Amino acid sequence: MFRYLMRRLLAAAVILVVISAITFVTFFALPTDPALLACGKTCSPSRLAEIRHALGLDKSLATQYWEFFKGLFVDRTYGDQSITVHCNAPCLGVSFQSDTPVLTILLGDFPVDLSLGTGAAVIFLVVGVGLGMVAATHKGKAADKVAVSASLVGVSLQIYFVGLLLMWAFVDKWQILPAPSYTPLTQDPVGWFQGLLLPWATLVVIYLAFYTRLSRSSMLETLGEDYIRTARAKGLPMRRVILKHTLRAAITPIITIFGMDLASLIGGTAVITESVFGLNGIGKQAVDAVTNSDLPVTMGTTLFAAAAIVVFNIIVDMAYGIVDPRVRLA
Amino acid sequence: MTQQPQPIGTTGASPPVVGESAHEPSSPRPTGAAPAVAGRSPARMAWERLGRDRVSLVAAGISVIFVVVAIIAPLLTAITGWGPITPDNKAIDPNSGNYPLGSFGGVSFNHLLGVEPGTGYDLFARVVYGLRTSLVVGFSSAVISTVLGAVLGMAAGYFGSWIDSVLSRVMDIFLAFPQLLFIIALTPVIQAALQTNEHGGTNENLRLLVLVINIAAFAWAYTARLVRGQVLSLREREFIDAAKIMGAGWGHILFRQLLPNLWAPLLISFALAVPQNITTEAALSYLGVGVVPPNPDWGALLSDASQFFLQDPAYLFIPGDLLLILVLAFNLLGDGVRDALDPRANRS
Amino acid sequence: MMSRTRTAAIAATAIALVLGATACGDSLGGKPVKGGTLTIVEKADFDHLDPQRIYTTEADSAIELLARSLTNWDVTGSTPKLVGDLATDTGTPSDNDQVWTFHLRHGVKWQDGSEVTSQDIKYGVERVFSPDISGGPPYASQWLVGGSTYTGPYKGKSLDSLQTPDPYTIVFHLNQPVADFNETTAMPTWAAVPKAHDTGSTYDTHVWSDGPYKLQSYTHNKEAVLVKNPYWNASTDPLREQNVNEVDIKMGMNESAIDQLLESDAGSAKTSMQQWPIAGSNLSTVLGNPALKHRIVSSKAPGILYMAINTTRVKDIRVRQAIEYAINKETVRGAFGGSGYGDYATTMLTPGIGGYKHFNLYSSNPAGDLAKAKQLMAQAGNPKLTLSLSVENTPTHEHFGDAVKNALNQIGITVNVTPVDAGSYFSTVWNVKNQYDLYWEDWIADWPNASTVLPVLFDGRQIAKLPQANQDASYVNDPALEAQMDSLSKMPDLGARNAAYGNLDEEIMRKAAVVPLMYMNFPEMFGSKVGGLYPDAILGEPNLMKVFIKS
Repeated sequence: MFRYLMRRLLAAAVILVVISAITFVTFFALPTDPALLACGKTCSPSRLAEIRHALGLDKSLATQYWEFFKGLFVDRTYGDQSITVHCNAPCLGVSFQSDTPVLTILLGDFPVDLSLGTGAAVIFLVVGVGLGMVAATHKGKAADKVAVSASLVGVSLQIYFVGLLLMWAFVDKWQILPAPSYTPLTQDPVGWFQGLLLPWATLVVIYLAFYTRLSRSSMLETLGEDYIRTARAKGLPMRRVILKHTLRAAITPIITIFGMDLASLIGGTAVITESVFGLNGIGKQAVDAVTNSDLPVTMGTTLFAAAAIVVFNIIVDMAYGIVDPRVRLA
Repeated sequence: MTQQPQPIGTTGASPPVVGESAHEPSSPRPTGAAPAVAGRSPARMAWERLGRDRVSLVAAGISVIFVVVAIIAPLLTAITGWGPITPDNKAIDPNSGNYPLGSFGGVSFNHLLGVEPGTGYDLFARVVYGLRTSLVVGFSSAVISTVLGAVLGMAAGYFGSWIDSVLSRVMDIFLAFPQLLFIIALTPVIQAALQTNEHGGTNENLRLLVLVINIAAFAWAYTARLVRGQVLSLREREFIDAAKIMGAGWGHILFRQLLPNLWAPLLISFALAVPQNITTEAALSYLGVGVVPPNPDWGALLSDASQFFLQDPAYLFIPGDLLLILVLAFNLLGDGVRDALDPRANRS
Repeated sequence: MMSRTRTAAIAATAIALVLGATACGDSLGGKPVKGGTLTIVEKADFDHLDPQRIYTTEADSAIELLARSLTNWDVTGSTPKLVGDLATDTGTPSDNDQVWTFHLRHGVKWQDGSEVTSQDIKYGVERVFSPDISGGPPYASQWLVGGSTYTGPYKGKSLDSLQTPDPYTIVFHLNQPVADFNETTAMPTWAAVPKAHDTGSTYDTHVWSDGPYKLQSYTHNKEAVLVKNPYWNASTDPLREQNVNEVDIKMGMNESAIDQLLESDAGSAKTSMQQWPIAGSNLSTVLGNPALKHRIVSSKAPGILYMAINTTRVKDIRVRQAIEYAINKETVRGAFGGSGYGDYATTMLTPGIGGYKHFNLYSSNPAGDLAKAKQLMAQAGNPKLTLSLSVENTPTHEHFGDAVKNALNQIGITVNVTPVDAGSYFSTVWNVKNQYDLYWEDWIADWPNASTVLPVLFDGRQIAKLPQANQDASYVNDPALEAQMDSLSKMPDLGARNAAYGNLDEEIMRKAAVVPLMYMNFPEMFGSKVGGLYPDAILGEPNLMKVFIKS
């Protein structure tokens, strides 16, 4: 198990390095000049050159990448004119726009995505699997048909459509909820909950539908297996059959997909949800960084999102080994 | 070795291994001569199963209607008299901010679905032309990603060793990369590269092609993982051994032996990729990095409509509901195809 | 100066301001009350809050609470009045307006209790010259003697043309006569910064306050919280009041969501306000709603919105004149929100700016004069042109682009609307390497005089000097005009100078290099419990200096 984990972590590191290199190169293919943007509206050529030097953009691509890479392990200092900015290892760079270390920015945005993602994920996983189980065990009956149709519609909805309608209904028309926003849990639990309720609801509507379908079909497949028939024939109560035998086997495909979904939600790819509800998470930060040609923040957010997925992939595969006795981790 | 994770985008069901489907018993004949049992191919049986599924037929019908409307869009706008970028200044009130005159966003005989606020474009024309974009991008990217995924998945699964390692790592990278950010970042580059003349015109077809490639580039990995998993189990089968003994080269084995056994999962993958890609394309346009205005697109329409929602809700609901129906119809059809191809009675 | 994505042109005359003040209703709300928390909802973060780097209206309004400048505007009367802020009065010019002396108030305290001295102001202005402290207006570097070679105080050097003979006197030596220098010093560039608390390029989030509030916290793109500065004293500050306990600036909310929140006036919206104008798509509904009338403060006509024509690419003046006649200003204004957005413009100077002269060289019908336009195109040989139009990538701008495209289509010109990302719009179009033919532009004068409009936008010498920041988007480069601009700036008699600027405006318009579209209004909503918001015609924002929350 340990050797397997080490191998996977090494592979993950390689993937992240490759992604960072691709991002770096792509960034430099862009026509916009970050020094110009940082220079502002009254930019003179000499000032532009000074700013370019201060941002390190006058060095070669390879040098810049190497310095970025080094910064992951070693402290860096930026700036030579005014007071310097210190960036402690692991240093993901310093924002061109605000001179704040990227890691600080990411850690500041992360709680939003963590709250948004985890909250929604817990709900849609538990409820989705539950509904799927109900539908599978009542196949063909009314409950099943309702679940199937509703989830089909849910999967076909668009996030921004749902989000907009929910906001209009709950915030503007009926005024039950305040406008969505993020308040830290430690600061104001009630506000945290209220502010995230609509974004959670939007994500849940769509993901729930997907997980209901997924768990229904996975359960149906397992229910058709011979050993389940044997268990029923032996006289085991249906509930025991489902919970003890069927669920465990059916859960593997669900775990995989859940891992990826949770990873991408937490990693900041819920860009549309964040923009519809005005939440300042990593996704929004990433889009702003890209449009402002802020290379360090772009790198940081891309790597963060990728790392989340890679790490969760490893966790999921290890979870396989625990949950599904048929799997041997090589 | 680890069990292959199921790709996102399918419902996680492992596709059937078609060679094992049981023959259906022939239905009883009324009278006369000894019944002739006709053998039916799996494809034929799937087709018949699909035909018996009423819901899927309705979905198929709706999908066909959408496709037909998209194809004859220029004819339709010629009939109504309003093209997608021909404004009707008389239908909007400039003093109120170019809001449509009349109710439901200006619905009238002149403008069947009303008029767009802010510009005065005929909404019907924008909707039917936007449908074209959605369908073209959705289908083409699904075709490309399915083909690419099939080829690379087969290669990874069949050849194994270092080819598999490299390809699997490439798939992992594509799956881990934040697709949205990449596309947003690339848009100005693409814009600059596509400029046809120095006065700002861009070749719209080229832009659509780039969009298709963008979407396909991130979608192929799912199909490839799926195919790889299938091939890994198929390649241990006896018919592959038999072919090898008979001296078949890898080309023959891949394309004449393995591929025919993969058509079912590939078809399912394709059928479910179409609505997924339509959704992705709409999302990209919603964020402003898909099709560029004034070319009509449903995602862009919805993004615009969210600005005017309180004043002109029809502008949001009309394209919004149509997009829902389109995606729903294709999803239903995809489900129907999957159920038809899967002989396991439990799943239908 | 710019609001974040637009440059805005200032101000109003007495009449305009009176009209504006009465039209806006109860923004003043009665007698000030102490206590409460004001929430300001923004759609984006400030570009900069560092006073020397501020060049947007939202930040300029917010900084009034934190950093006092040398002089300032009192907007509580019928016309904005220039008064001393850190200075006791509006300064004393000498030596033909090339030397300006200001005496400072005694007893103005920093947030740690120490006193503000002339040395602090000198250090603040010196920071402007450091390349790390970029983004602010160019006046300090343009006018102070030695400015072209000085690179800021961080390497230990100081600027000799800024003299501080004693802790309460500061003297500026300028390289040319500037009669309205004391209007320049109302900008936050001329705020004091204590050297011991300067944090260089991160000062945005560490502004040290000498105003009624201090910065408790500021997280970029999220929130800034201002609390009371215990050392602020009303006796040394006739302009401001310290009524609310706290100011919360929340950033990143969706523009339409902000409008809807303030319209609803529900819960926390009662004590909230916005600093960005109402979105174009909501404008007419909000303005037309009588229930909202008392909760809108409108700063009248601080800016001009126009379309610039690149005269180096559209060389035939008849074609440019045809464009002037063909543009349909009705649909253009509709795209921006309708009649509430502002009056149609026919001049580059806004009514209310010193130097404004009313004239209309082109179509008297705002919907345009297609017949005349086609005639002009025929004279030019009916060329079938294709032109690119740059706009910001926002829905309002894209609708604007459509309006232009459809209008010019009628005279045989195909327009390719090219959206440019809003955050980098001006950096892109003010770069001489850009490849556009037509541009969306706007401009707010930094103080209400034509000298901050016409030379800024039409002096062709900046094309060569500032190739990345060339604001002469139409590339007007006429030595005769430039000579006139130079001589005008030196004219001693204000009345004669203003009249001459009016004529200059008309002469520039004859070149058909720009199509003036609207004088802009900036209407903004506030919650029912917010009081003391005066419309500020200089800034185009509600003035925060006397804000309070009703009980």
